[in-house]
Amino acid sequence: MADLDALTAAHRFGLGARFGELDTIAPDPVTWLNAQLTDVSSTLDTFGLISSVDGIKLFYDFVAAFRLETSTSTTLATDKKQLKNTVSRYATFFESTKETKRSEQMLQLSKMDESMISSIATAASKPKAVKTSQDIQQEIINALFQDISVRTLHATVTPASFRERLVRFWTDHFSVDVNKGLNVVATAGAMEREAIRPHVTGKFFDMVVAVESHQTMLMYLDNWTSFGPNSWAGQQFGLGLNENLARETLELHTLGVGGGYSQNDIIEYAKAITGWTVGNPQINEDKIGEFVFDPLFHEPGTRTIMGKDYLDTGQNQGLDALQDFVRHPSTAKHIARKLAFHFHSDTPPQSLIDQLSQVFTATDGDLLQVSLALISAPEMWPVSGVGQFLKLRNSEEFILAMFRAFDLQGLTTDQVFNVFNLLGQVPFTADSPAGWPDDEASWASSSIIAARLNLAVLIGGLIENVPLPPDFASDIFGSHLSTSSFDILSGAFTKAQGYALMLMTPELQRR
Amino acid sequence: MTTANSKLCLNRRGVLKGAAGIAGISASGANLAFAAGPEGRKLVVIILRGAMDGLNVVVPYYENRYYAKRPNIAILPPGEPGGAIPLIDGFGLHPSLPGLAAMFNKGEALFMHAASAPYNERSHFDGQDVLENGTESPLGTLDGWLNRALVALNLSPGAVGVGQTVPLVLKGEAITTTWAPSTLPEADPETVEETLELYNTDPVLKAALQGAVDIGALVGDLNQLGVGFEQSARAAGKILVAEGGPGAAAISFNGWDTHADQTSVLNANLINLNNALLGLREEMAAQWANTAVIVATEFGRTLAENGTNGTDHGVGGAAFLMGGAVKGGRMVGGWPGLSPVDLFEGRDVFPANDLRSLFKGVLRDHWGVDLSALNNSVFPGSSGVPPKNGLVS
Repeated sequence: MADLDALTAAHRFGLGARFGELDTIAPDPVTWLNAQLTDVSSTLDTFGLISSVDGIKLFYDFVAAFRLETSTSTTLATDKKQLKNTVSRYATFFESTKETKRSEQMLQLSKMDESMISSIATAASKPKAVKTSQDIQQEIINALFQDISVRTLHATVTPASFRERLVRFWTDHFSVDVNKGLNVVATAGAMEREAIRPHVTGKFFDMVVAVESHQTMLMYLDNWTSFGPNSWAGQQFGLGLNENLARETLELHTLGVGGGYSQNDIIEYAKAITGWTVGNPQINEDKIGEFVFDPLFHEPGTRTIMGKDYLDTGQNQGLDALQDFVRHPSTAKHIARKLAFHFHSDTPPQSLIDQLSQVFTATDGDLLQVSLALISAPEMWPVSGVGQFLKLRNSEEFILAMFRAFDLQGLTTDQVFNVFNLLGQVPFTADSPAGWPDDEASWASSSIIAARLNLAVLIGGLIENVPLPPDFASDIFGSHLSTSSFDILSGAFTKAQGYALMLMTPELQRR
Repeated sequence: MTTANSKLCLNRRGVLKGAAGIAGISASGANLAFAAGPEGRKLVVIILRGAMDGLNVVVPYYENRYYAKRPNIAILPPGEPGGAIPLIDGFGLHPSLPGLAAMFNKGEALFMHAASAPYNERSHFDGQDVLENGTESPLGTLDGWLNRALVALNLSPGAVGVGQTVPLVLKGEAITTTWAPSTLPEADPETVEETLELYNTDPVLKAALQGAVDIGALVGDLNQLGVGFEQSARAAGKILVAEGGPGAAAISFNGWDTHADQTSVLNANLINLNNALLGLREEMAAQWANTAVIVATEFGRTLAENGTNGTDHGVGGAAFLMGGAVKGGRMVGGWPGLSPVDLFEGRDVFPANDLRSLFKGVLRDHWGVDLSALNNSVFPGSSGVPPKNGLVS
């Protein structure tokens, strides 16, 4: 059943088959998958994309321009001489974070709507001597659109589509939402490139550390402005703890809900990671946009988390706790269950979960070994036809399967954004830190399926110079295109309708 | 292989409307199998996501501490410029809600203050989950209380959700349909029919697409309404009152998390909400006497304003109940007051009223869901939270 296995490799593990790809995979689907985990020759072309440090610098340019344009912040010390002592530098930073929040709120009001899209083009075409905050905001949003477009194009053409699926899985595991604020807009794409991609086949611990100390996550879940109540800054300015990152690290990123921690453990861990912040113009002008451990924010003292004492070793106190979270048995189970739910179905076999969990534990969270275990799990390989492909593709997966099948490479940045927007899944906009829903009930809604059909009809009308729909579908789905689907595609009134119908087949909607 | 991407015109304003397809399929192609509400009674649930500030919406203007704690953002008493619209017992309504105030004065709207889902941890995500799943824990159930009420009454498919995905409150065993405005041209009817054929082997996808076809058959193309708060409410209203329309609708409105610059943000949201509620009433005029509308949010906000002219996550909030079936013109539930000892953890309005008492009262008296189902399946383990009596006539 090499043919069926090729289908499984391309659609269940990968992002959907490109034209002719099943023939390439069919001789040895397992080797085709395994090789993607060690061969990193298919890499994202990051030309023109901005780093998180540059993104945050742009963001602070925005804040500075915004400050100049509004009269409300005249009390803010902007004269460098006034910032010569520690207290005034920090006081100015705390004042400026309020402005940051205010500017974030402005962004939330406008959200990612069409007025923003249309304004980007006009802003780009009007170079000015002094950029307004509006100009910089559009520059930042444009950079995000570029990021989305580039990662989408890469997923469309890459032969290593399993690896690219894994990237999306882990990005979603550590989900951030750009609607949080302009600083997250400026860095969300960079976080995937800087903290996720390098570790997709590395150690889970390294990925967790890269993410939890990444500027985007520190800003998205507020840790950059979380202060030990007994730290110097806490005492000096009466500032306190923000538990957001600590809670989601335990609840979503590592142990999982019910993983064996208490509300008090969350608070203790939140104290342990106080001081994990982001360089800013007021306090550390030479490190703007970089990860900074600021001991003046850090809660002094030993922390007791889940029964274990962690000495106050500064930045390492949080890292030590994080290492233990990653090694906790609940984490292995949590990650194993999520992987099985995502790659297999909404009702994954317990044996698959157990196997992944065991490998995760035995290899100290080696994601190469865990991914290899997913490939070698017999539960992942159906022994009969398409009826066993149960998992409904989410909207991004549907779009990528469509783009791959028809090799849709030429869309503009705005068009790519609009396609995602129309189907309700613009990357980096899941409105919960838990990421996008991964269950059928969420995606099989009338409005989503109707929108997919409307889009499929539009796309179907653009397809030229490829084999007739039933033949094309046979290439994409192998011999496991069902007879009924084949017949319906054969009976299409026009080629355009046939291609649209192909996109709507259960064979493409599911994987 | 090449594709003519240059022809791909997906920008919203570039898209021409095609012949109505999904929405334009004749009734003969549709199922028309929505279950109406019991005796035609309609129920709308509106969820305000982000935690609406109850204190600046239903304003306790008689409380000095309200003004003491909110020197920059409080709503002034009635009679002052920009002051609250007087309601009853020292409470007033935010001045941007005149339509809701008019409904209150007609006896069509009531307010429950100091209300909260059984959740005190102040996380939006968990708070919304508890509000919608009807239990005491964010992962208490993976389906929603409105769906379980439909199951209890055997109403399936009995509800429409306005939005792209199914909100948690509507998820579950009973079939529900969603409608969202589309900026794409509608697929042609033949292709819709053929796609339904494709789904003869896939009942889940078939039900989803059929739902879209059914909505189209009921109300035609609603896309001309456009996109927004009011438009969503009007769409829900049109679908509910159509001949053969479902008995319930759920709508979400986002953007209530007013940590900064609350005065302008909240004002803009409330203008939209006011227009949405008036729009819903107008669309549902023929059925308004049989309609109840619940408006709820996951929790309230701090009594004290913060350093950015906003408020932070709190506990006790405010909920509305409105509609022709509602015995309105009053406040329901207890009001704990704002003195320091009466606050929750010294900072938030005490959650004196469990929102489930409001939901259960409406489901029992408006829809006739029996008490044992309410206590056990719709709101599991809630027998200690009795339904509020006399909310609807």
